[in-house]
Amino acid sequence: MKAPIAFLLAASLAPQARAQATAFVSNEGSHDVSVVDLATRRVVATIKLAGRARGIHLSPDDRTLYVATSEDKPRPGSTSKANAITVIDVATRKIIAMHRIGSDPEQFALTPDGRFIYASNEDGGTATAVDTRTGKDVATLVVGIEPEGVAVSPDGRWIAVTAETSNSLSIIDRKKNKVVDNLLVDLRPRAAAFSPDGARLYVTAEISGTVSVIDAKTHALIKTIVLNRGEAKPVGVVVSPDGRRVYVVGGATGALYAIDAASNAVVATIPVGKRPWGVAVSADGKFVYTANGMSNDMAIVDAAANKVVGRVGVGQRPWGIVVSR
Amino acid sequence: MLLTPPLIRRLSIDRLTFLSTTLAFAVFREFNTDARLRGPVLRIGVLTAGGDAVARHDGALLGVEEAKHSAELFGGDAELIPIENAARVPASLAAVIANDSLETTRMLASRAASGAHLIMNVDCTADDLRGPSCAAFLFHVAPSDAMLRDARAQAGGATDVVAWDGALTRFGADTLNDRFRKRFNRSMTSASWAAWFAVKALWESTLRMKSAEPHQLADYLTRDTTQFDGHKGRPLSFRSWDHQLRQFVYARVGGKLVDVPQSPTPETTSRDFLDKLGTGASATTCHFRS
Repeated sequence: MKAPIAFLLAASLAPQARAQATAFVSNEGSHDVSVVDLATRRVVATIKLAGRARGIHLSPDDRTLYVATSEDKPRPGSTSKANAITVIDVATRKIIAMHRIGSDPEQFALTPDGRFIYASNEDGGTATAVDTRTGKDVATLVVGIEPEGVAVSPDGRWIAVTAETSNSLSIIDRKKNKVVDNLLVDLRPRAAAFSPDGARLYVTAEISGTVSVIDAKTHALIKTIVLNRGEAKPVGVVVSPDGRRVYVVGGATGALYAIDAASNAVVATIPVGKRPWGVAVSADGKFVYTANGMSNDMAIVDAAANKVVGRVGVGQRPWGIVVSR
Repeated sequence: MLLTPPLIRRLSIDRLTFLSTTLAFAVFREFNTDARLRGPVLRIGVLTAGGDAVARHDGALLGVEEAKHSAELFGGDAELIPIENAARVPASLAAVIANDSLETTRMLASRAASGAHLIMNVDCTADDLRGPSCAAFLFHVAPSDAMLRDARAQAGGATDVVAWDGALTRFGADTLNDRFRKRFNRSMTSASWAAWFAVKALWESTLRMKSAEPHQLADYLTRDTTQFDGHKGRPLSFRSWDHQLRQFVYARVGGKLVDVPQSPTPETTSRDFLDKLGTGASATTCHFRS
């Protein structure tokens, strides 16, 4: 009798859980965010923004959406209003604030309490902490050259910032708001993600075509995973909620790589679309979503079958993707 | 060889700018004293005569300033020392950035034959330096004539082939070009890029080897697993048989810049693909004496 009960439970819970789940895709080309209802797999709204939309995150309560926007052509020292982290109220889909951060905001992360944004300043070699309540800078820290990816540990204590030119990873202690360690990683590190238990840190390196698996406590390199002989150009990385799978998208190969976190081996290579850079996973871990920059769509991947089960056309040059619970 | 007056002015202005920048850093930046560990000091000389000396110097200076930023995180330091007389290179230098002259580069390489320092060729394309005159401590960031010839043949109608252009945008070229323009108020040329890359490669080697000793740097540069990011979209590495940097070059065809070789497929490794330009292992006339 176990199977029917499980079936009934799944049947009663799944539609409800799915009905609320929404994907938000930032579109670099069309300067907007596509709001995708994941139950119907349709774009239900498009939120127009002031500039090229890239980094995108939801507040922990899913009520607020943050999107980094910038000018199409970055100009050092520019004072354009397009260079901001735009704050959107999810319920009304209206812009409620624009925080000015540096001259070319691209990547950032939110602390788990939703209180602070840590953003990389590409042209400044620094990372800035911004109070989400006031929009004011609370700290600016020296990291590597051309800082890019930002990740916050699940307990909110550590912030990891990659730097593309210096091939480095800086670890910030949020309690002290200080850089406490710097590591050399592979070439052109683009993105970082902590495992849900906070034990591992995964860093993609676009030019080396690798994922570095780092012990988040000791900062020792555990393993370097080479994707497609180093030619995959990996960018986005996300870890499944149960910590068992690491998902990485390869911009050059158009593939989603499913990595087994226990063995650090690639267990599936799934063609998803042209130049995927953004990747997200559903709260239940059943689906993985990719933003395919050159296909102008998002792919929906069944995580158990490792297969694309749906596609939704979004805006022009989709860059990042986040999914609500 | 004498310093031309404009370059003397440029160099002294650079020192002033540099001092004020350093002061500004010290005042405004929160220093993490724990991270300022002792570490290796990379001393690089740059020839102040021959070719576009200012372009070469500025590229090297950007590289050194970036190395100094990185040294704030990793310890150690980098210094750029102008060399007015190529025949009198201080023994304390780990590397010398040479100029466009075949004779001068050959002389520098022969004097450094035992590895007193590395010679970084950033502006001389002569095949001879990669062939009969090759040397174990001589590395070529500048593309060879053979590579440029192949690139012309692969890109029909090319009016020029360059190692870099200030108008390149892809693969992070825009951020590098913006940094250079912001710092020096002009475009990054091939010689600037090559000098910047030479310093970047040497500094990364220093960090990874935890030493700025020339033999250690040469060891790292020639390892089969060593590769660098030069903002050209694929990993770049030095060929083991002649120390030529594998890299894309850019052909000017009808006002546009075309990557050569044309974009590789993910099925081909970058190394194999980039070896389509220039002299391959089987055709090399270079025999390193060690």
